[in-house]
Formats: sequence, structure tokens, C-alpha cells
Amino acid sequence: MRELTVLQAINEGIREEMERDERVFLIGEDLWGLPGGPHGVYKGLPEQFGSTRVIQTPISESALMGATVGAAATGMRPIVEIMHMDFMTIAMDQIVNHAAKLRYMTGGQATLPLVMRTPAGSGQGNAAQHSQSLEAWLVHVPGLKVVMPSTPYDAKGLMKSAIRDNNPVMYIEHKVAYNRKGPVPEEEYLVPLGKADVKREGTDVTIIATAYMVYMALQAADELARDGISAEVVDPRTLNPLDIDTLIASVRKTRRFVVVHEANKTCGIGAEILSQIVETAFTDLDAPPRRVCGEDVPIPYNRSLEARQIPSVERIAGAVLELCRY
Amino acid sequence: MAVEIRMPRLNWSQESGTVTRWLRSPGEHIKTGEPLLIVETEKAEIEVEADADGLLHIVVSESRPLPVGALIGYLLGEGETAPVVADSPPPGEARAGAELAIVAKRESRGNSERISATPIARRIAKEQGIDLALVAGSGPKGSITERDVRRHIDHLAGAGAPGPGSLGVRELNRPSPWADESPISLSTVRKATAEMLAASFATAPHFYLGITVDMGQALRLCATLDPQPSITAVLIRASAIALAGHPEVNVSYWEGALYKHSHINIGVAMATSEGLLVPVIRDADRLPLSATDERLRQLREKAQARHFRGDEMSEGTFTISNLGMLGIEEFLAVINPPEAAILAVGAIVDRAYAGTQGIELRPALKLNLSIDHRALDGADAARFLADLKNTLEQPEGLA
Amino acid sequence: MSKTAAKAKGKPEDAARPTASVAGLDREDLLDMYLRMMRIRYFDTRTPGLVKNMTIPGMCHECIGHEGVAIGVIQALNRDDYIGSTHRGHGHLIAKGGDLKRMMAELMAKKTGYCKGKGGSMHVADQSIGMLGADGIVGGGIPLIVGAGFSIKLRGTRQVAVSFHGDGAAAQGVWHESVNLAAVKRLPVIFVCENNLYALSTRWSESALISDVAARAQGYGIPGIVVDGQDAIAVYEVAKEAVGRARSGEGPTLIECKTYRFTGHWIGDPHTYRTKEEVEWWKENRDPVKILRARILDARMATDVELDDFAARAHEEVEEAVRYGIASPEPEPSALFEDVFAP
Repeated sequence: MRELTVLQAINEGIREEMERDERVFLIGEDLWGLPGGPHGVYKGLPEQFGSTRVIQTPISESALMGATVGAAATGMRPIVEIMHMDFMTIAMDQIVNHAAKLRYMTGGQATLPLVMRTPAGSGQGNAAQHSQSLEAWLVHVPGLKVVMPSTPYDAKGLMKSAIRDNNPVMYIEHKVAYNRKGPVPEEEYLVPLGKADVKREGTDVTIIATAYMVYMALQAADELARDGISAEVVDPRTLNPLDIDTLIASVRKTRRFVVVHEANKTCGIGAEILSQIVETAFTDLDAPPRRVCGEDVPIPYNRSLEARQIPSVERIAGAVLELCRY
Repeated sequence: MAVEIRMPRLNWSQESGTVTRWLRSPGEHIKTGEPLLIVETEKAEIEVEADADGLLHIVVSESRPLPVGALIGYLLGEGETAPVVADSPPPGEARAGAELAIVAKRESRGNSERISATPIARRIAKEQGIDLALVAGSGPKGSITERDVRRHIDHLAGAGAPGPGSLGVRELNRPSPWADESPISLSTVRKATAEMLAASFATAPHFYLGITVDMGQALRLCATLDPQPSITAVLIRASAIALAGHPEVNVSYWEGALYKHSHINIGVAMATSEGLLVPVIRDADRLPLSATDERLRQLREKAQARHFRGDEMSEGTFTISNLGMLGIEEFLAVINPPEAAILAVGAIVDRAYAGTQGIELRPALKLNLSIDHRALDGADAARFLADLKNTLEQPEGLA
Repeated sequence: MSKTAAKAKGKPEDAARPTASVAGLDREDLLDMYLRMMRIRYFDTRTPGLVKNMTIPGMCHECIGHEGVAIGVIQALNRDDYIGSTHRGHGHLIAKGGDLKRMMAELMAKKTGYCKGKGGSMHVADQSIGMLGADGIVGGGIPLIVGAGFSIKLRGTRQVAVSFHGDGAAAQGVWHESVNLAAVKRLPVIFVCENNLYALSTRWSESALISDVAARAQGYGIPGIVVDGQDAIAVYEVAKEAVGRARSGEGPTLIECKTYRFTGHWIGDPHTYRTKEEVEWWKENRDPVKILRARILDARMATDVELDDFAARAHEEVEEAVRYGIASPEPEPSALFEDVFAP
């Protein structure tokens, strides 16, 4: 099977959907001015679809997001890019008070088939305001769907599903994962929202990881295998709605679990996942559950400090080893 | 104002008690502190005193186990009538009863709650009827994990190799009843003792040290005292002195740690018609011989009457068992958990010694010390025993 | 720069005959405008009592005094044109053709309301007539209309989208972002700023150094027009021009309607931040109902009796809506979980 990078996979998914449905359009900053847009995700799309369907705007995240909502409310299927997830904060009123709630507040009159795609993640020395992963904020708001793919296969399949979904979908990408390669079928396929994926099967411990941490978890699993520990790695893929059944089935099998995410620990998505699992599967646990997350500090500029801020393969393996003392 | 009399909690692990008999009659005027009733617990029968003044009204007179906190009577004021106790208590009382039950359960669970076990280990243990107290934990800090419970289950089923903390004991078959025999159910005390001894023998690795003691000097000393102390009293006194000099023996082993006791409380095994009791002489190192002997006499009387205060039956740190008066020359006793050692005393018998003018006969008795090897090694135990022998053979400081 | 509305033209010998139109509005148009204006007037006069006795369980923001703006602008729109509104949205929805019964039921939180009782006054909407929704965030609805503008352009229709908002919103960052974005993209959008001189309790003169919001339009490169908001016909004329510009692809216009709210910011607001004299002056001299009525009568498009009839009709419709709302059932408990997501 051919291999694509995550970037290429997202690009292909968007192109296919734009070809399929003329209501899909792109809006955001620097989509024309920088080749393929700020991160290259839109390579070739401006040229193919023209300036009516690929709209470059001034720097106005609040208006951008609101316009996305308004366009979605009036029959279109917009994809808005928020250049770095950190800038989502400028658009929060439109995301939280409008996109998430318009349908509910109007008693179902409004349908908002929009996608907000945004690159998140640290590891490129971009410092505190260009490196965050704020998925927890979005997962917390009823009315938003949140996806966070890791592999090229998942990225393409989830993008297509997100565009076809008739609701606001927050599609969170990881800047460092963009260049990761993986198999992507030629024929069309979709990855459904709300389904987790077992990335590696195992028997002794479940590692639940998101986005770039999936790669770290798989690496940790390889190292643990050399110590005779068989780790199962599960990628939720969609954070809201969460496929808790798959996570619990895995924990019931292994009796131990660790949740790994790049975002800092306090009130991160790990707290929610851990709680949901313990609430249901308490009497299946043979060890206390653990989270391995980013440190609760702003992300530093210095590269080595930056690397210390996020979970490492050692920290993940270390947490697993602790659990296996039980 | 009616004062409730409820089933008292007399030791920290007690879950229930039985009203054995009331010492006073209904309607009698009771004063605070007067003995009121006898309650049987797992350890012994204990005399309970009144907490208040009042006219006695008995609610529960017959003998059946009740949870700690259950209502058993009232002390009423003049002219008061007792509250009606319906079959199902009124909601407030039921709630209070439930609260007490929760407190009692919490406290009684104290024993098993100190057992660290993972949620799935607890679940499987509960489902399979396994007592976690008997399962050895291999997890951190000795927590019991699923693996430990499953191993335990396998052992009971006779399958698999014994693991750590297990003796690979096969469950024995129940003896087939003979036609003319019906099983006698054991009293609470006997049952508790049986279980305790089984657990002690199974979990503490016993080893034994024996020594012969020339009691000549000690007997001469006793003859000078009035009243003449018993041999057991002498042994208690000597052991207390020896323990004071060897604090490493006055310990308990529990879950990977040694607990050194700050008091020397010596229990004395006593046989009664209802089974074995071990009342405790507290701070035995502070009592001179005559006081020790007096205390021992008191406890023997209480043992016959089976009236003990709660604190007379608990917190022993060392036990002495003397079967010499029954002609036994030596024996090996089972340790009284959670103590580290027990001293088995045999009869005084004239034994041959090498003297200055050839063979002499001297009155000597054999001591056998059983030791929990987790708490104490041979050399330390031997030094203790040697000092004990010295204390007895050169009894200047004994009195 | 002020621009006064053109007066109805007519020769003296036509004084006995009704004029054919006022600013292009014929008798039917004007009577319909008057009817809708009276519906707004009665609706928002009726709500305070219902709020105070908890028949309406939530809060409402009356738009009495603002009727000329809604009626005037919306008269220039087609049914399929979009409007976005504010927390003071009853007038916009009624002017656009909203159903009084469903509105009142929504205010009363009943399941027969526009939003099934789950939105309330601040979120009433009727998407079928292009009313995208009232909005509880000041300025929040503005970019939605910009989005509607994008949608129109992409679909290539001749619709337009109108954003109603107040002087308060003109201080919000999102107002500036939205005006700029619509201007730069030449979207078929009209920004209607209803300057009633107070953003809750903050006077306009404390919100900005300029006396007209419309002056800002120049900063964004679009036309900015000031009009007397109390004269529905004057508003209509200005709106018609702006709509024409938008439909022909010339981009957005900023229309500032000078208006005034006759009551507090919300029902029960004692509005002590305004003098009684000021309030009374506007009520006496600049009442949009009186002004429209006078213009219709001046042009002899109708008689007092006819206008009274229409007023009575509007009054009865409002009463019927109240009865409907009161008789309507509450939503089921399961409604709590419905309409979060579309299938």
C-alpha cells in the first residue's frame, strides 16, 4: 500500500470532499499568500478551486469563526483554519457561544456543518503562544465534536467524516506529526467519528494515547516488550464523543492503564478518560490508574526544556513499569 | 430520661457480642459503675458496668450474638416507662442502628481494611469466598493482587505449585459422621482460639530453643517469702527482667515490619472449662515478685469465674505456658500472635548435674522457647534464653 | 453627515386624492408596515406584565422606540434575505414576518415556541424567513451575517444579509473585524447600527469620540449613512439604496439609525442613567408609531379609522398569542438532551 504523510493525507481528504460537494469551501489566513497555506495542508487546493472557494482573509479570528458559523447556518459546509490552536482563544465566543449552541438554542432550527481545523502541539521551538494543545477546552463544551487523529490513515478518514458530519467538528492536527508516514489506501474510505482504534495489541497494560503521543506510546511499547511487558496501545481518535466502550474493553483485558497526552496534566483530557474508566471498570483494576502528561507550565522556548515539558518515551515506560509491580 | 444500654465494643476488632447473663434484675436500682451484665466476645467473657444511674429495664435477655451497638436495655428514671421497642425499629432508631452498624463494620473491617488489595483482587476474593487475611500479597507494600488471589485459589484446589506465603495446604476432607455422634459446636472462644492457632502456625515460621534451668536457688528464695510465690510467678518475673534486657524479643512482626513494644505485658495461658484463656499482666517488669504472684492469683480466680475486664485480655507482648503442674517435662507451644515468642515451662524434676563432688541431683526444669523466625534469629533468641536461665539460677534481683 | 428622508411629493390639486406612493411604497405596503409596527409595539408592551408575573420566566429586552428601524430596513428586504439580531430582537423577528404565537410561546418557555422553549427571548429565531437569531452576546451575531454574505456569494444568489446591532456592539473587536472583512470581500451585507445613545448605561459620548458611528465606515472604505431611525420611511429609503448596492455586488454599507429606547435596557431596568426629561421628550416627539401614522395620514393613504382598525387587529393578535402561549405545554424532560447535534 502506498504511504502518505499526515499532511498529504489531510490534503487528499479535503480535496476529495471539495470535489464531491461544492458547498465545501476553505476560509482562513494566508491560504493563498503562503504555498499550500501556512502549514502546507492546502497544497494545490487554491489553484484547483479558485478564490471563490478558497478565501484568504485578514487576521480576524473572531469574525472568521463567526462567518464560518453564519455560512454553515445558511447552507454551506465551510472549513475554517485557525492557524495555531493557541489563536482559537480569539475566536472562543464564536466557538463556544455560537457554533456549539446555535442549534440547541434555536430548538433545532440551525444546522451547522462546519469544520474548524487547527494545528496544535509543541516540539518546534515556537514557545508558549504557538505550541499548545487545548483540546480539553473544546471537549468540555456540549455541542462540539472533537477529533485528534495521529496516523495518516486516520487523518484522511476522519477529515472526510468531519466534513460530511452535519455538526461543528473541531479537527485538531499535530504540527510535529505532519511528516509522519503511514499506509493510506487508494480507494475511498471513511473513519467514523466516535470510534477508537487499537494501534497495538497487548495483554499486560493499556496505554491510551492521543495525537503525537501515540507514536511515543508505540515506541515505549517496543521497549517494554524487551522487558517482557506486553502493552496495548489504544488511540481514542475522537475525543468527543469518546468511544469509552473500546477503552473499557481493553482495560478489562489488561487490568491496568495509563493515559498519555501532550497537553498539561491538570484538567486535561486524561482526567476525563481516567474518571470515565474508573467509574465503570473499578473492580477490573489490578493497579491504580495513571496519567502521563505535559507539565503544568507554559511551554518554554528552549528546546531541551520544551522536550522536558511533554511526556517522553522514558516517562511512559516508567509509568507502565510502576503499574506492573502490581 | 431513659438511658440506652447498647452492646458495647470491648476491643477494637469486635464485631458482635452475646449477652451471657444479666447480673441484676429488672426494676433494680443501678448505680454508675456497678457490674451490670456479662458479655461474651470472641476473646472472653467480659463484665460490663453501668454507665449511668437508673432502674434496669432489660430488652435482650437471651443469649444470641448481636452486633456491637445493638440495644439491649435501658436505665430508666423514676416513673418512666421504657420506650416501645417494635420488631422493626422506628426509622430514626433504624438509622442510628445502621450508623452504628456502619461504624462497627468500619472498625471491624479495620482488620481487613489494613489489608491492601487491588479492586479486582477484592472482587475475586469476595466472589470465591476467600478471606483476604489469609492471602499473601506480592504487590508493592504487600498489596494483594489478582495474581495472588488466583494463586491462593489454585492452592486450595490442590493445583499448581505453592508460591510465597503459602504452605500448599490441601483442604482436608470432612470426617464422615458416625451415626451416634452429633457435632458439638464450639463456643465463640474455642472457635476463635482454633482459628487463631491455625493462622499462627501457618504464617509464623516457628523454631524452638530448649534449655535446662537449675531451680535450686530460686526455690530457696521462694521459701523465704510469705506467701510463697508460685513457680509460674517466678517465671513471669524472670521473663520480664530478661525481656527488659532484650527488647528485640519484645516485638511483633507485621507485613514486613517489626513493631517494638514499649510495654512488657506478659500473658499467662490458663485452662478453663470453656477453653484456653490468656489473661495479661501489664508492665510485668514493674512488678516485684510478690506483686506478680498476687496479680497472678487474681487472674486465676477471674479465669475460673470467667470475669475479665477488657484490658486484662489484650495487648500481650510475650506469653508463658506452664504445664509442669500436670507432670509435663517439656513441650513446644504455639506462638500467640502477634507476639514473637512463647515460653513453654515443664515440671521441676530432680536432674543429674556434674558437681564438685561427682554427680548431684538438683531440681531443674526445662524451658522451651518457640520463636517467630520472621521476628527473631537463633542467636538473639539464644542470648535471651541464656539470660533468662541466669536470672533464675542467680535470683538475687528476682524479688 | 445627516441626510433627511425625502418627503412625499404631490401637487396641491392632489391634496384630495391619496398619493400613489410614498418613497415608492404603496398603500398596501404602508398599511402592512403599520400593522407590523403595531404588532411590535403591542408585543413589547405586553411582555413586561408577563415577565413580572413570571408567565414569562426569563428576561426580555423591549424594543419600544426602535420600531422604525426594524420596519424600515426590513421593508427593503425580500423574504429570503437574511437578518441577524441582538438581545433586543422581538422587533426584528416580527418585522420579518415572525409568528407571534410561536414567539410568545418561546418567551413562555413552552414546547410550541420557536425554539421549543430552549432558547427564550434572547435566542428566538425563524430560519425559514431568514431570521438567523437573536443573540445574547453583544456583537456576537455580526460575523454570522458576514458568513451569510459569504454563503450568498458562493451560491451566486442575489440575497443580501443584514446585521442589526447597537452602539454598544460598535465598540466590540468583532464589529470591526466583521465590517472590515465584509468590506474587503465586498460581501452583500448591510450593517445597521441602531444607535439609541446608550449601551446599557454607558452614553454613546462615553463610548466613542465621534458623534456618528457611521463615520467609522470611511475607515473601512465603505459608505456610511446616518438616518433618523424614528422615521420608518426615511429608514426604508436609505436601506433600499444599501440593499441595491449589496445586490449588485458593490459591497456593504453601514447605516446608522439614530433611535432611542423608551424603556430600560431590560424589563424592570429603572434606567436612572437617563433623565426623565430626555425619555419623555423622545416619547412625545420621536415616537415611530406616531411618525409613521402621521406620514400615512399626510399622504392620505389611509384614514384614522382604518389605522385604528389595524392597530386593534395587531392588539388582538398579540392577545391571541398570549393565550396560545399560556395554553401551550411545557417541553418534556427528554427535551433537555435533544438538538445538541444534528443527525
